Amino acid sequence: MAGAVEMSKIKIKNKLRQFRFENNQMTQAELADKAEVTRQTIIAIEAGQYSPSLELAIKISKAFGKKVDDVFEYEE
Amino acid sequence: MNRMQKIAVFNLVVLGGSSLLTIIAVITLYCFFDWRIASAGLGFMGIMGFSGLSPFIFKKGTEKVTCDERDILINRTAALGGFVSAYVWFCLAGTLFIFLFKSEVLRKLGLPMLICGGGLIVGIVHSIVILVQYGRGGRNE
Repeated sequence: MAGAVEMSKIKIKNKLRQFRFENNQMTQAELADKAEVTRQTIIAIEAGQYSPSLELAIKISKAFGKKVDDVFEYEE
Repeated sequence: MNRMQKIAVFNLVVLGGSSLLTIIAVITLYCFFDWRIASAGLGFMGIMGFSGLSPFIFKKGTEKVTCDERDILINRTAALGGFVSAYVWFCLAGTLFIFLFKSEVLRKLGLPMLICGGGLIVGIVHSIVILVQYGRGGRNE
């Protein structure tokens, strides 16, 4: 169910799932700990229901050792 | 389901249940007796006070992160929704009460109804908006 926070048409796509599996099958909980957020937030981001702030996007990217551009993609 | 969702469900049940009980009691008593006795049914509104215990019932977990930016954003939107609804209630009820009730009833119960109704609306809308924004928990949540 999409709420006010979860925008109806989020244009930001991410490769969280792909990078998690590439990083020794990192669990959502492990990523959440590294990015200092709850697992629910990681689930919401991965499902494309929530667009993270720039700060969180950087933290997630750093957890994978990638650039923000590699993990998140803006769809025109 | 996180702590905020649990508190929202608890508040929704307590507030919704007690208001329903109050309405039923007042209407039932009013059918058999007069308004003075029927107003005793308003005592059921006291149950609403239990919603204040929710932060103590649902204590913070032992997780590393209990609240993040998404939770704060959801809570802020829910609070905004609650207070906007209460504002609409105050505007509408404040005007309608004058036409709906006799001056005697209005003098005695007008202000309490306005304030209690406003508080109730804030609580209920806040809880609903929180639950709607979090959405249904997926299988992996």
